[in-house]
Amino acid sequence: MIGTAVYFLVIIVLGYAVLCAILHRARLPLFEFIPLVVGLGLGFAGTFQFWLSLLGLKPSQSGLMVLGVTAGILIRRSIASGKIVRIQSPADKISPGDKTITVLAGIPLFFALLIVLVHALGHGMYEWDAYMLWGFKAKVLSTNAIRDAGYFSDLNFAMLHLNYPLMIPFLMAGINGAAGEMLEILPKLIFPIFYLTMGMFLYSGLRSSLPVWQATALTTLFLTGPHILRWSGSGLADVPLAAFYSGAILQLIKWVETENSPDLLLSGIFAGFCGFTKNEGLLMVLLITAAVCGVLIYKKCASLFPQLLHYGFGVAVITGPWLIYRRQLPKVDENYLAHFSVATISENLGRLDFIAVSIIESISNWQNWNALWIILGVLAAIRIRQTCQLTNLMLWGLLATHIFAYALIYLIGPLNPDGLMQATLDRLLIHVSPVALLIVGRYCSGICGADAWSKTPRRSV
Amino acid sequence: MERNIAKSDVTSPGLGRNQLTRVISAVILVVTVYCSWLSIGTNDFNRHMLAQLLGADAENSHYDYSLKWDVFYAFNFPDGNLFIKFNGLDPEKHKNFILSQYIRASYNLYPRKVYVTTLPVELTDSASILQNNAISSESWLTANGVDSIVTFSLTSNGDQAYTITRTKQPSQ
Repeated sequence: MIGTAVYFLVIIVLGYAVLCAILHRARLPLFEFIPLVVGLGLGFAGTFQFWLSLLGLKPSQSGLMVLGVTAGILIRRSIASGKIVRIQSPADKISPGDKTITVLAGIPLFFALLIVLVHALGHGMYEWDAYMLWGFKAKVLSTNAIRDAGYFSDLNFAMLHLNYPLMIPFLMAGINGAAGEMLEILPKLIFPIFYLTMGMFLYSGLRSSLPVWQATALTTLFLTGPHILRWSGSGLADVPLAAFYSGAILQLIKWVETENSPDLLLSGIFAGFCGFTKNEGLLMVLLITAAVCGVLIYKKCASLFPQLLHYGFGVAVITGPWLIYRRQLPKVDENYLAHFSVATISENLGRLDFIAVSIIESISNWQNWNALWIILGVLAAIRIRQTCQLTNLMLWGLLATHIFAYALIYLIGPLNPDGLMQATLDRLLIHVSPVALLIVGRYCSGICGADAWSKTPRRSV
Repeated sequence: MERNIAKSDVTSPGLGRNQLTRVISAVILVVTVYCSWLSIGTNDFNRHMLAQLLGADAENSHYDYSLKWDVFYAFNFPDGNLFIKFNGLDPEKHKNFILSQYIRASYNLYPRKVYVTTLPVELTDSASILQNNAISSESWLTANGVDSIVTFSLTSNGDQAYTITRTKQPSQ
């Protein structure tokens, strides 16, 4: 237990060190500060452990010490040069009425977190994909450095998708390493933490344009959704992926509205984490890259183009080593790209009706998502003019192309989409739903007349 | 010095704003509380997981199935590596059973090894497992530290049964 506590302390210190290195002298509201620190900490803890493992060091207490001490030195240097990120005190007082409504709206969150904790820490790995794809790899990486682990080249385990990204296994293995023993349940603690991080990212995104209680209510609406609750503590990587994606999108929105290059760098880093968490994360990298290019073209501002390098650097640093390493691993997954051809698409066009109906059925079932998608549809219909604003257009573009890309995967995939969609669609829609929530938040702020930047003071230097 | 922050595109003219704000606010709040209650309070899976944690006897869940086999493997195979044989099972009909035995046992007994074949072949599904599910020689078992063999087969009335063969007695 002490080892786990130290592990999470190191994650926080690491996240803060990276944040200070990127956002010199910034002041952030607490609700923005916490998810950034935790999100960066988790992402870099997984990434650094992968790098150490490539060097022959499996996750261990000494490796953890190296990470903690390095992060500590970085923070010390930031303090010495006065480049630290501080928490900004809230500028506006909340009225007692708003406070009561906020608490009322937030109470279900407490129970939701309890449920996620029960799923995560009350049980071992019970989901097929959870232990097959992530739990097993975590055990392997706990006992061997990746370069020494025969598992990754053992064709008898081909069905375990040996070349799947390793962010989650490394984060789980880190807990085993910190404890100095192989634990069955405690490594699953990372899942409730990702659930909370995703919630805090989304709250932070909503809070930038909405008053406290509305942001709380929408966050609660999202986090208590049956599909989110069902998978958050199960040991699958979908919610962690959605958490990193939320971070990438929020930083992207901020960059679109402020044009500060560190925001774009952060967006690139979070997009990189997505690529190292699940294969679908590589699609997210492509989507965000397209969005960045689209915004640059729309703004027609040549001076902004060099900022693309910041974004590219963030993505490349995180995903580059992994993509290079995975080239030597046996390619035994579905390899959807190989099926991507006009011939396959035209051959499988008959699936299209079924795929479209399945997606519409899932998102229009108000109980699946706590009416999130229905609210989005209604607001989009009554606020059509607001949709044409740059940030909203970008978010809609991301949402639509993301869903379209998943539909395309079902269309070209070698497996019949019937059973596959039943097993995976709700999990894939978890990846997309944070953007849907952020669009809802922006519509709400438009309707209620809230000014995006007047409700909360932003970063200052 | 404040960073230059563009006033963004989210403001809009507020026609009947106060009334609209109240209505939207009330709707959001009611939907949030109602949906949260439905999701948290009435969901069978969540209730089942909690009941299971508190020791209630609840059958047919994901967790029960995994747990049953976890106990089976931990209890019966305390030492050495394991070979799993499948006799007379159908690759389609018993697909989930074959895959879950191999993967769950491998996960459960790790770092000890679980084998379903003696060949370094690519196993991608139940059919490829059954196709290669033979023990080449006694010496292979010894060389690979296999202490036990569990054989799953079908009884005359179609039920699954197992037998355990020890190549080496487990240490106490």
